[in-house]
Amino acid sequence: MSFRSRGTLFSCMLLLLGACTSGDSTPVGTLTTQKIAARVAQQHLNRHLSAAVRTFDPLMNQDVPGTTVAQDLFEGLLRTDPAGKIIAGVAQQWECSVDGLTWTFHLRHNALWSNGDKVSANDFVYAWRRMVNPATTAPMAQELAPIVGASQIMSGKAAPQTLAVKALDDYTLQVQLNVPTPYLEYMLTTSFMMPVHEATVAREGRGWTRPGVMVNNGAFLLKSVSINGPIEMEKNPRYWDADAVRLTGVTYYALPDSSAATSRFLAGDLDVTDRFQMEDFDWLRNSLGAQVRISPYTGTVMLGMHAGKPPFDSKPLRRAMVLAIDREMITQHLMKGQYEAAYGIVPPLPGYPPFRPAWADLRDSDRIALARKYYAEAGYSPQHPLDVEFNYNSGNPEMNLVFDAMAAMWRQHLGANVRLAGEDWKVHLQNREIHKPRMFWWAWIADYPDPQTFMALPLTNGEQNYGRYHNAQYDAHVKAAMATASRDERNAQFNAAERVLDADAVAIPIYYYRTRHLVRDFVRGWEDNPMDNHLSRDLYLEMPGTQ
Amino acid sequence: MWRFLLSRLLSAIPTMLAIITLAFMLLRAAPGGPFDAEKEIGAEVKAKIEHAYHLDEPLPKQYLRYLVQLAHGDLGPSFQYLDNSVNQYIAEGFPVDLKVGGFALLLACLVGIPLGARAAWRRNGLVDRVAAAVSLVGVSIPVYVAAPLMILVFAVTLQWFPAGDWGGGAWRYLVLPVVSLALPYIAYVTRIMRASFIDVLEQPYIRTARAKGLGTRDILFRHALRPALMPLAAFLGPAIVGAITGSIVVETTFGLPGIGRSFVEGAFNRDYTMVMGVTILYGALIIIANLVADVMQALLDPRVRLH
Repeated sequence: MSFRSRGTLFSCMLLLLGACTSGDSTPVGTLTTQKIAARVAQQHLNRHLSAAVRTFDPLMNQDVPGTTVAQDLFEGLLRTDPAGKIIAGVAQQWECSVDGLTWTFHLRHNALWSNGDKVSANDFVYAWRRMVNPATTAPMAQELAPIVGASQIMSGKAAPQTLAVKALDDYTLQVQLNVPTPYLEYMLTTSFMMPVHEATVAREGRGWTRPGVMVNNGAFLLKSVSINGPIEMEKNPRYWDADAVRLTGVTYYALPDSSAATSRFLAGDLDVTDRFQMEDFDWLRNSLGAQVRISPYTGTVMLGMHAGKPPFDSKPLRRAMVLAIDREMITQHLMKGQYEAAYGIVPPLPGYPPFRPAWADLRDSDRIALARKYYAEAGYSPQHPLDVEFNYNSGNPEMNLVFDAMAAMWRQHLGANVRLAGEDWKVHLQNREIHKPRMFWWAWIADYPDPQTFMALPLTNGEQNYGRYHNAQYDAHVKAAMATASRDERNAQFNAAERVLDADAVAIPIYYYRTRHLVRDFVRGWEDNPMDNHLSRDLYLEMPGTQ
Repeated sequence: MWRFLLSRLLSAIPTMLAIITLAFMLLRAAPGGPFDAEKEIGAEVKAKIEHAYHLDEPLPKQYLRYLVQLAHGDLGPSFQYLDNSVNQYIAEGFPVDLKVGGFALLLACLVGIPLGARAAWRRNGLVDRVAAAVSLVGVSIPVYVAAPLMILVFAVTLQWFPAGDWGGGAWRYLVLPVVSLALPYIAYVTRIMRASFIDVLEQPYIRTARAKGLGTRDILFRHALRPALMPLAAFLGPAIVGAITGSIVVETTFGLPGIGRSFVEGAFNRDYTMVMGVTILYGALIIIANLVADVMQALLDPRVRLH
């Protein structure tokens, strides 16, 4: 039995427990008033991470757990508020030139490193040069490509000193970009754009992230780290906005098994969990009420089809495959209404009108009739059905359910035989990279809340273009959007590109992701936001019912 | 005895070498690499990373490099967890597994030996029936069912013990993981001891002892226990390793900071050095545990000669 199947089994037990205690006056998972009062007095938050932190060096980080802890330990030029809105961080003010290519940041004078040194513009220059230096081997280095000189440095053709990031003085930083990058502000809140303390990194090498050695500028200090165990943080008294930080400390527990995290929440050990199993949703909602938080997340679950190889080099066939799927049935019934049906590859984003193709509003019978028409046009029939393999990562039981349903829909509506071929994650990654699968798993979570992160996927030379899609018109629209500084023009170009993509039907969007958290009712300052950023500095504990 | 130990340890060297070679080759033969990711990291950066970990070298050279490194006691850096070496992971994680696995076996012996002995002494009596029920339950309920069940009952509902975490190895944190891991071993030990005691109690010298009017305690613990422990000694060798390495499920369920999680995740993530390091450790552990079992058998039965 796999670890994930065990999670399902555990969920069944949780469900049983929920059923057994549903008539009780004290629902399962409820803490006593005395316990809550003690926790509130202590102001110490216990948080869950869905995986172990790979590194505490913010520039070497590339995953969500690493970003979560980095946002507590470090502060970039900008940060996000509880609602996910971008606000001032180390930079007090900032401005952008009319052409969108030159950004100037004015740093606050009272920002300090944990050893008392002042945070200066040179700290950012050092960190970003370190980031793009190939010798650092920073996995997210490519994200700095919009900065002038970054690509040449990363390919070893120029020295890191040529990066167009200048400290005009100790508190003024200027950045030159190749193209207008409206999402730069968000990028500046992420871990790989955070400053690091040069003297400490130079002195300690890779060991600079150890507790007691690390010099950081965020709201919390790293107190202790135990391998595969808890990460302890305490409030940083030298943080420039320490007065606004109400927590005295935070402990992170890395638990990859979300059922184990749920049980730890119910036992009162965790105040916030990163996710819970979908099958637990109903009884958790009944037992915990508003402590169960589900909200839109900027990610799309979709499948890709290899447009350069048979059978999916046939556009009518691709269209038939897209149209034959009943997304509402999947999201509302199979996924218990926890997800939103997807009809385009870009999820709902702030400032970007979502694309909805005309076929999305067809009646089911009309949509299926259209799918059958395309299927026949592609040369397939009940006597000559499509027989194809779909390769995907088998490690997600929730997705297995969805894929079973999709295969059944294709069989029922078209007569097509789609064979499900689950494979190990690393095997799937490799197979996609060599463009082997005809039909493959192609989900994406936004690096930044901007359509570009999704629209760049199917670009002709895009690294994630596993299906070798090529349409010059699509590329032209996306590139025009990326080159303009006008928000309206950008949106219009992306929208036009989405229309081209929909007509070519190389992707089968299924649903948009949602976050699933358990958050105690005495945890305040938590607001759901599309990038799922929840900095501990904004959270605090308060007796329920108190305003 | 010392010659025996030395010869067994020397013969372990080619065995370990075979384990290392096989593990190294199998890992490299597995499709996918440690730095394949959903988000491409760029060809230049990937080349630099692979160079830093010597993955760009021919496989035989990598293998020899690893052996030389190993001879110096260095298991290398983890490919996934950048801030720590594999040595650090094992140094911090193995004591956790050892403690949980060790206490689980100890508990299994403390419960299983008297229960098995008593069940054998009064066959078909109440204790025998209880022992049979305990054995059946212990063998039938796997750890991945028992552990969450215990959390739900004793941590979530009754709130007697923590639902997880290590707590520095404090006893409150140990109870649930140790008991859930011990359950199947209690069943095995009880069954082994019952069968073994029945066998011993039917020996002529026990009948003689009874005929001489010796009491139950004397018969059981002075005359029957030692020979009855022989099958248990043979079982305990692999059981020690099983309890230590088998705590992966317990680790995951209780969020314990052992190395089992790193091992499993390492295999999924192609963290070559992590998987190699833990495989070598487990291999060495099996060799040592079997050796200990042989020595224990010799100590218990003078007829067993160590060659």
